[in-house]
Amino acid sequence: MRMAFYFDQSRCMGCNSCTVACKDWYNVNPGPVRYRKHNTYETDGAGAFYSFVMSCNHCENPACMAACGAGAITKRSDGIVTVDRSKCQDLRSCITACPFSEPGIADDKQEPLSQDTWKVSHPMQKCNMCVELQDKGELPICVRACPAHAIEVGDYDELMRNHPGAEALTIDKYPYAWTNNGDTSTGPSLIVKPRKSLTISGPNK
Amino acid sequence: MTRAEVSKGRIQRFLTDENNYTSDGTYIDPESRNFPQTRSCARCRSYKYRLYHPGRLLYPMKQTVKRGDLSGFKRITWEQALEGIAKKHKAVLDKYGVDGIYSIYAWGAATGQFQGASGGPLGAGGAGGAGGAALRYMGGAQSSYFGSYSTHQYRYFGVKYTGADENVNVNSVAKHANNVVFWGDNTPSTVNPSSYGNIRAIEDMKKRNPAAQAYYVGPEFSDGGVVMADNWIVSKPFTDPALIAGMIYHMLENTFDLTTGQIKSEPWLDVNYLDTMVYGFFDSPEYGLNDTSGEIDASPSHAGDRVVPAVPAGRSYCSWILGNNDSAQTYSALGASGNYTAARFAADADMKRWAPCSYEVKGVSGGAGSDYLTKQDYRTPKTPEWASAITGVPVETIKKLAEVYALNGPVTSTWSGGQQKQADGIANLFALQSLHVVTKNVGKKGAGVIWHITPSVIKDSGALKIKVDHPDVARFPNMEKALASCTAWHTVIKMAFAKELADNGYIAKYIPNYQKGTDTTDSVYWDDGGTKTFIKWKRNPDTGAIETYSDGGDTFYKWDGYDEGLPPVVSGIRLMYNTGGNIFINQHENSNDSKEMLEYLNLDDGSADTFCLVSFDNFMSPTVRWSDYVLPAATSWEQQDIMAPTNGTDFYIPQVITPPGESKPTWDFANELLKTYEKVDPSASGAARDFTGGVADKPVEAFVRDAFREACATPESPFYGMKWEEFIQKPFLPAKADDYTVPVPARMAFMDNYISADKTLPFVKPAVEGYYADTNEITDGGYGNEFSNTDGAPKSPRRFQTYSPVLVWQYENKFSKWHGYLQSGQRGQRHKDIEGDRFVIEIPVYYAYQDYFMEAYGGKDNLNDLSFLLTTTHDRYRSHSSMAENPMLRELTHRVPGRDAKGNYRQANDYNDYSMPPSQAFAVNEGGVIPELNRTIGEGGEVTAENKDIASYSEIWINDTDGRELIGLEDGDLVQVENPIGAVRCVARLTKRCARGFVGLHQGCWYDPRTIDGKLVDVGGNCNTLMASQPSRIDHGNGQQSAMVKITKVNY
Repeated sequence: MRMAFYFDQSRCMGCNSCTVACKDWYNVNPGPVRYRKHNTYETDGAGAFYSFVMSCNHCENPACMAACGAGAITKRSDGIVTVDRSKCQDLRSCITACPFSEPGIADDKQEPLSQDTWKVSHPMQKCNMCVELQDKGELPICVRACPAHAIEVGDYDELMRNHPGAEALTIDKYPYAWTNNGDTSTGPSLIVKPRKSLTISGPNK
Repeated sequence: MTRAEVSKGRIQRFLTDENNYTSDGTYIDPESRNFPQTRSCARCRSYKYRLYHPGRLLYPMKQTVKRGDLSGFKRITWEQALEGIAKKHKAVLDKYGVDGIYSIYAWGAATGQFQGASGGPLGAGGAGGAGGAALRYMGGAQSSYFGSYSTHQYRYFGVKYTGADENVNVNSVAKHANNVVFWGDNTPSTVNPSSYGNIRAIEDMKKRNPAAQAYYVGPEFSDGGVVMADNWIVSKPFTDPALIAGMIYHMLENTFDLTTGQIKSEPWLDVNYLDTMVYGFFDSPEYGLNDTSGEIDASPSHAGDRVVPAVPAGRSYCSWILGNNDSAQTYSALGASGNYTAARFAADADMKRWAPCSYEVKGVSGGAGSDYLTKQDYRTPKTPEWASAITGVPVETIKKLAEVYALNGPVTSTWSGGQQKQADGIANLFALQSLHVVTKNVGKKGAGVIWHITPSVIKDSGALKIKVDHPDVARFPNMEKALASCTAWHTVIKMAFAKELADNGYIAKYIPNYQKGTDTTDSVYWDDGGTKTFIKWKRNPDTGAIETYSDGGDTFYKWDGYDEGLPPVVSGIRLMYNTGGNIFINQHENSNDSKEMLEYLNLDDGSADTFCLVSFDNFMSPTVRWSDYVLPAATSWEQQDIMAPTNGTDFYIPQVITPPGESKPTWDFANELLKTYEKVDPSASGAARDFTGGVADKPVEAFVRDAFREACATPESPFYGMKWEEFIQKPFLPAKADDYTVPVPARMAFMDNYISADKTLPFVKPAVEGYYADTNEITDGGYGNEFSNTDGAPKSPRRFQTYSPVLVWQYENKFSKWHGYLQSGQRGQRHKDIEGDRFVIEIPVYYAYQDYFMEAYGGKDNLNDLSFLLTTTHDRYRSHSSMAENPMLRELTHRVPGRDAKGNYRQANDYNDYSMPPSQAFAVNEGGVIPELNRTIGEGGEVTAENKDIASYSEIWINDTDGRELIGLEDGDLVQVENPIGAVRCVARLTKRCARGFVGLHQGCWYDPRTIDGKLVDVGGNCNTLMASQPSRIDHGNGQQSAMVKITKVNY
């Protein structure tokens, strides 16, 4: 079992419903932490614009987990990577390690209240693929929120089988996903159905 | 649809529609393109931050010093507020009549039938539970206006001037279209419930036909383009009619030998169709059409019943497109192919199909020397090369797109709100519809031109029938009221207070004069659009109807004093209700002028002769700030209401949480205002009780219970046998997906076989509905069709039209029935440009955008350093200007200038600064505080050190190359954007999603002026600070997508 996200780039209209619904569900106030991040990427000279939204990719070999000196990050048997915020010591090695800029640290404005079990005022937080919902048999909030029906979760191989034309997230095709570093060894559990090319005629360059 | 999760009296989070069953209980395929789940977008998902925003208005206030002065607000009680407003209302009624009171177009809670703005108790009236009723009980003072801020041009023009079809939905595209062209469409941002259907329609069209393509035409590549388009045709804004003319020129050169006028062997256009089914593509003689037999007669005797005007030589759409071409053959020379119409023309009044363009320039047909580029170009052939120079679109692309429309149909086109909401938006619609008509992309499945591709669903007919009976409403008849464009109120206020404004030193942009006629030398275009109807009228005391008089066969309304020989009294607008709206300052063009006007008008003193603006709203928005009365309103979740979702039946939403402070639902505000008014005007006794359905203080829910009681006892109802408690848990009936195919009008039987069928049939067949091309006919229509005499109006040819004498006649004669106080020849609307030529002509010409700006900015020299064209699309993180205060959404659209160490955006996080704690609030006299929104930018535009990481600005989209090479910008730089109308500050987002020479500033940011170097600069980044007051051509609406600007970098 390797739980993964499926993202249909040919349907994503960049509405941020998933990213905002996620923040609302987890009471993440406005501020720097955002479990899901959307951007419409423009590549130099390329004839297309790529709407792309991503949260934690629940990698096969999570760089964050390997880097964490506090043992706060674990990978479940179904592949979902979770963080125990009570163990975080604000070492920030996960932030350096994750190629996709997923782990986030709030500031005082975004997270005015601390919890007693925390060792630091703003422990790392990130997407946990709504494990508490999935364990109850419900779908994650982002999947339920997407007005364009562009997000699914499920077993990696099964998603791949169900979506002809979908492909693995690789740095040669999706360089813009590697927002933090170029580590390609983590095995991100994200499958993308790509947007087809675009012909541009007229003065935009 | 949105669901709130509530605990401990507080909304904790929001969820969306996750229904999987239709109204009859069957399971829905979740992947259906009509799947009626209505999933919330980011706006509803973040609504918590709006509900619990510390900036919510909590108690009534009255301005006591100067409008806009925050320190001048005095806290008052609701009783004081209601008494002051009721007395003011009565004073205005007594002195100026019902026309002096106006409820401004507002959209606060638009779909709410009981609490909404425009359609709610204090709105303009109309359908729904409560529309306009409260004002009607206060002397019949409900407002009336025409048009809409969203679609003024479309509502004016519609499709009836051309007869083009709108038969488009997701199924027609998925099943039948071979190409789709989005003309600036931004549907996925603007109309969230349609977004999935749009995406799937295109996806399914391409699955069915792998050669099918989606094209996006426009200067800003919207999210709709990003997700759906295969091709982006990058064009300059305001130039669509030029692009279309270039395309049709290319079709013409592939149809005719333009040297000999002969038809080519494989013509792109069907000439017989154009002769027979389309009026005014070619020049044609005047003729009579027999409404019974369908025969036509172009001889001088005109045997027909219906005289269809000539399209004189050089006046047709084709003649203008070909410019100076004189190679046309006559109907007799080319019309021998069994084409009835051409044969009649040839036999009766032969002429050539086209001639050199003959519209007047400085009064001379084919003349020269005009300052207007439009007129300079009359005789220029509108070749693809000509169109390319204007639009920026490559010649080959123009030819390719011509081929798509002419040869690769059926084509579906969507126009966009933005495309029509331009200075010449009607010309844009006219040209696009004409393109469809000329290429036979009408009357076929999969062909059509529409605003946006909508889902195709069936709503359950067994929904609740909620209604409010208004007893004794006959006492307060539904009066004819002064009728102006919904965008013309600004002029009407100036008209009423012309002297006061001048005396107080208002630096008039233009103070209109109601006494100016259409043809006086110093009258201007602003005067029209119905503004001169705001007169105190002579009304029948029992019915409220305005009395009329006749003069020489013309009928006019009588003004108060007519019978006594007195001049009319201008009622203007004296008391304005603004319920949940931000039009006045923010959403109407030229915010600086609105602000100045309000500051120069004397403060309300309770009398009929001071202006008074009453705002009832949630936040201290710019309009609320410049109001006289500020009243706190509840939001959707804090009141009972009926909502009307796209994908389901109307349903009841109960009150979920308590409104903060003293804020009230509109229903309660209206009820209590009426109770107060009864004390001021004893003749209105019982009005409040009658307003709430004849039972005092009856709440909204009681009406729902009445309707439910009936429904649960009706076997056919889906609520049959249900208990109230069950109903309240499941009040929503999702729609069913509809697999229907597009209805095709009967006349379309002739799209392909008209040439072999009975030649009379394309014109008449009254027994078959929808047989005629459904084009406008001028009649002595009722209220709103305001002509003093329609005898001379041109007749509809009952065919498709690309030439419309009706459009011109209607423009010239509109409102003439109200203009009896003006001299003969001065009534109707002004129809002369500054060179004395007609302002509106019969065909969809390209009106050069420079012509509008030359007039709007005070002369063509003022355009010289304005290098960029600006439009202002909807932003998906605001609903117009609502949600501009929501910090969860502001962080998606606002940026701190510069970039961080890694070169990334500095996303704004002004949450705590935008949503200020009381310690950072302004004090209200008599106690209380209101948090003032964004104060991170100082009075002189400066940002102090402690704010430099949080003071944020709206993004403006600038082409990457332009930004770097022409302005010297890096992404994230602070810029000033200005023109002769105003100046704003924004953060530059350099992007290839903009055309060169174009900038996009998304609408809805809150106007927030500072004085920087002696000049008003709006650091809020409101697009309307840059928009000119001059109305759009023909409809006198809001040309609010139109600006030319210069951009400079600001040091930060």
